[in-house]
Amino acid sequence: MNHVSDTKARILNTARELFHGRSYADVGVKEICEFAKVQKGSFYHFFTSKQDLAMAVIDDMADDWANGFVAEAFDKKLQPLERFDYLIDAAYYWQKAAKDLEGRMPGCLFGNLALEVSTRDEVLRAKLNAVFHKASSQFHESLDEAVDLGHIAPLDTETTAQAMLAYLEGVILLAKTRNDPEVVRTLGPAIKTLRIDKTIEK
Amino acid sequence: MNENVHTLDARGLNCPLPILRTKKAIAGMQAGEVLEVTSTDPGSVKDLDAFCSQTGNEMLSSEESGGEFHFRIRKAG
Repeated sequence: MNHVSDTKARILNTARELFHGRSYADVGVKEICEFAKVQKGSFYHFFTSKQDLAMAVIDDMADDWANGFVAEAFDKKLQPLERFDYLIDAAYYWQKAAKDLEGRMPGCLFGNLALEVSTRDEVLRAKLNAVFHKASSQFHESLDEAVDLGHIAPLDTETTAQAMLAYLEGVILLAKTRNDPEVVRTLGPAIKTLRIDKTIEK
Repeated sequence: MNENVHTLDARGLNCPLPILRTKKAIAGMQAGEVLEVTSTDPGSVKDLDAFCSQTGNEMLSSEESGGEFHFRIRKAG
């Protein structure tokens, strides 16, 4: 890795950890630079503002997820509904590992940011909304496949996918509030049982 | 008795990928068969222990050597 991309990666990784472990508002550019061991001037070479950095952190994390556990869970070789078991396992083991290390369950970075910034920053809200939309699209595809294969009765797959995402984020929020990843393991698997029927008129 | 041994190279993967790959590998095995997993993520030690106790699969051994973690897991059944 060359020096430029190494500096940028350090800023991104540091910001990701600090935003996730604490919050967006609580962490300033000065502190990020100190933790990442970069000069403020270097920071502004890569990012125009803290908001610009947050946009890059969200992209970076979404890419990591898409190429990592999301690709692993939404593997076409798995049965469509089985993929949700893998997704819940991923959420559970991730949160558990983080709690084992830090003593606190960090929750979902996207969920944390959405709760924090949606009323104060329209640009970040829209960005997070796009991330959630992409996640529920993945759920939607698997539900369509499950219906096509006859594994589940026809239903409103698009709305059910959104309900599943809402359930998953809610379960992680509850687990974070209790600081107990076991909540994810206990409640998570029921994500597969959510069903929203087709309405006659939409 | 010759055990039918499967192997999984999870080196370089971070949590939760070693667990997901282990789960997939075990799903494709017969009961009683053994999976040997190699990983480099220190978190995988606790994760795989928890995975075994939650799924009923048996952790036959869990060792570290030279910065790598080696696990032998027997599929339940």
